[in-house]
Amino acid sequence: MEHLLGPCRAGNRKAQKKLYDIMSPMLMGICLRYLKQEEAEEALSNAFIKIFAKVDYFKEDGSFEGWMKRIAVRECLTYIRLNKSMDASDELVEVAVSNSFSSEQDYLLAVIGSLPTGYRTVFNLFAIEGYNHNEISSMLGISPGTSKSQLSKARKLLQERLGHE
Amino acid sequence: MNELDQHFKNSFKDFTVSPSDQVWKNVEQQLPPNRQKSSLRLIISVASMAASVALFFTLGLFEQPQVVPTPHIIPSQDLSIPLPSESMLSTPETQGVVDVDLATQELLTPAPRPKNDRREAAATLATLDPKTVLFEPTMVASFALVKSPSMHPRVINQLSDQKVPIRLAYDAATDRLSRWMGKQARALGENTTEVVAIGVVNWSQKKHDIQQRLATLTP
Repeated sequence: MEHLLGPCRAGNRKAQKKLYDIMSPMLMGICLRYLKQEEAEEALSNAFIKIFAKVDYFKEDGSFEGWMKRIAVRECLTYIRLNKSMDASDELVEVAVSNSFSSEQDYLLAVIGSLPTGYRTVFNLFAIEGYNHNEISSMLGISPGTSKSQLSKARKLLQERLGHE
Repeated sequence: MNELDQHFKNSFKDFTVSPSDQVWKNVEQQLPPNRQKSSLRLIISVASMAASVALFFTLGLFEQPQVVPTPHIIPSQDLSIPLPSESMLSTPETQGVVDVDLATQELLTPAPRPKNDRREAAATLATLDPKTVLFEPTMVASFALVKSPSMHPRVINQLSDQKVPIRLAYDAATDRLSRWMGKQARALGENTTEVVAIGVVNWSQKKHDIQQRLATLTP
């Protein structure tokens, strides 16, 4: 994939499309952990626009894939910040889990999607992306304490949901 | 990270979902034009310009000075191309000033290949009387073509449609016809404000016209 870096930097549309074809399924998977289908596609569009615009700034000593994943996550957070509330109290936990999922991933995605936005976001950032609470607090504009609290509540809800099922 | 976290992390490790086709369309709309295509277009246009310049230059190289035979003077023949200021040449002040023999001799004398030395041309211009002296536009345009092979044909056409100051003609300062024209201009310019120089060399189709016009100047 790194071989596409040069052509993408040169603005080669074919290379950009190839990179998109390779990376979009993975990045869409990330976006769907934070947002619903349509929202995730909007965030994904913004992520790729940013990737192609900023590709000149990518330092090749790091992972290109990791760099793109971080951009996708940040675009999801931007979408949430602009369109959703991080306050869990204003969002009811919807239980929409059934036995009709084709894979465990789809099932877990539905479980995560049933969490309030704040819980879901902190859980994703901490448990799956691997950020610590200080990083999460600065990314979301909340205190580290709030981050810890939301993670705790997210875990509790997930355990209930998974245990119940 | 507890067991639950690890379970989710492992489960989503290779999680992929294909987005709809609309996503790429949205991305593509926001991207700037394909830079490589633009670069290619630029290269092609530059190459075209270079080829044009080379073509003009090559034509200029092969356009060797024509040796005009001794004029066959036909005094009574009507000129096909009227000269707007020709009447001035037949005024009492200018009558007989043009030395046809000298002109013919100069036309027959092989001349060195004109050098496109703009510095020399500029130096020549600096010594000239600033009085406006005009030459036949077609001829001046022809000079311009020889001296500046890369000149765009449209510019040449524009030059052909109007009187061009002597300064442009003197850009061809080393050309023998230019020198001859200069002599005529200086000779006639004493008492006149405008001169129409006669004759075009280097273009075989004009040779007959030159002979005819020289004939009309015979005292």
